Amino acid sequence: MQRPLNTADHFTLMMDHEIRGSGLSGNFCALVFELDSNPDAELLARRARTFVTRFPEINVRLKQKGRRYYWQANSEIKTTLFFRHTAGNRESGLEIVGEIINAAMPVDSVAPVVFHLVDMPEGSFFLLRWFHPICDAKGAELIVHHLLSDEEAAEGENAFALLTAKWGFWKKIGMMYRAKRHIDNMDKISSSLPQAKAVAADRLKFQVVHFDADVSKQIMACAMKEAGMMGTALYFIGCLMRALQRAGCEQKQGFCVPYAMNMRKRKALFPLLGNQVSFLFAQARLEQVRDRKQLFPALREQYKATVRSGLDHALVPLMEAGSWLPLEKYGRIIRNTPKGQERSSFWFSYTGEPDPKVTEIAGAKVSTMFQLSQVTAAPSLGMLVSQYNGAITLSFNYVASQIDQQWLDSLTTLMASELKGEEAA
Amino acid sequence: MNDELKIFIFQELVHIPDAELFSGDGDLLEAGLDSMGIMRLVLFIEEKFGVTLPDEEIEPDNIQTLNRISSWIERHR
Repeated sequence: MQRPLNTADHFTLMMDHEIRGSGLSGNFCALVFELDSNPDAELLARRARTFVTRFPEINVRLKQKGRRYYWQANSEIKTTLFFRHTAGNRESGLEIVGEIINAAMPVDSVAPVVFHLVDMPEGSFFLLRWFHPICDAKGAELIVHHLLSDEEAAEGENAFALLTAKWGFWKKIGMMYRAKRHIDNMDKISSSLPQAKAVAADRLKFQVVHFDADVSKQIMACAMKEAGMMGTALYFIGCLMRALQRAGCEQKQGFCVPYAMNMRKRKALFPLLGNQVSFLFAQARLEQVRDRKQLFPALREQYKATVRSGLDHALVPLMEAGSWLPLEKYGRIIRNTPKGQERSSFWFSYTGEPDPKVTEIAGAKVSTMFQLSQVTAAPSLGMLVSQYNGAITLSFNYVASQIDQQWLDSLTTLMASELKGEEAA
Repeated sequence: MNDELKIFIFQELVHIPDAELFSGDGDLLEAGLDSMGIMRLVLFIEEKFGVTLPDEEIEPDNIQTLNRISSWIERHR
């Protein structure tokens, strides 16, 4: 069985190439659940074995034919999807999680979905590590749901394919040029970057900031007040722009942040695999970033103008055209401005609450969760925002050799203050 | 008006196994309508019904159900 990659899968494969080119392991992501006790590891191992027989489409490896890539089914059932580790304490447990996301392997031998359990005396981490070309973060949530339940796989329209099927050749050409003009305009403002050291990238590290339910409520109230009901994700982006500017960064004319727009219908349990995303940019000039009152309405108006003019979807045909280029060239066009500068100030993702919700994993209660994602160097920094039972978690993912720990600490403190609206007072 | 809104919401934004059964008083936020979805919904309404909905009125009271959205649109017609 061979299954082609869709346009968005191919985009994430290009980012895998860029991440590897930066000296890191590749485009790997993880959903990490923190459990308040040790789950039944035998049960998890059994469920992982069952999962691969129920969903053989994850038992694949990436292959290349000319410039195209596809998933090739493994000839035998691989049962080693589940790995168990033991750590003496939580800190060592987190180090093991770091090893898992940094484990390098050739692109054609990567198992796209693997589960790890890290047992510690005070609880466990259960994580799904996935290779981004196989699915997006919402697909990863569905994988965990199906790992833990016997529910039949749902079937329904594939949002991404439905959308792209509507467009004829000339429509795509028109959209592609509109998207290109949009990006050319954005490139007139050079992007500030995190304060990075000029040394080779080594490995991804992460710092996770959890806010309790009360503080999270306060943050969401600020987001509602300043960015409105439509602007939750933009609120987090704007706050990080401001925190970076206050922490001291490689300051240029503004900030530019790419973020994924998931085309999946909310609450849909399909499709399990495939990236169903387009991407957008949030951009603000330095003078807007310095003024909180100006920043959030500006980001919101920018988003409205983008959707109103159809630019949210216009990037898809551009991605489709890019998928015919060699990965190096595609990567250069996506990441760099014509002047050769990095376009993205940082990477960002906001997934909200996991859906369907996971409250228990093999007999152990889930206390919280966070996400991980490799990033390119530059910008060497990504922030992944998620919520669990209303409590917000920020996962700062960064390249260890390039980002100074003290600077990152100051950035996370400033970010918390921005989110709580302390600077607005 | 409710039917057109319903078709847009359940074809484009939120998955409900049987959207026909979703009543005008069903909670859209509970059903999964999120911030990005609300943005798309507001822009759809503005284009489809030729109204301008002020940002400061985009709040749960006006968005939560199909009936409330319809009343909100009527107030701006």
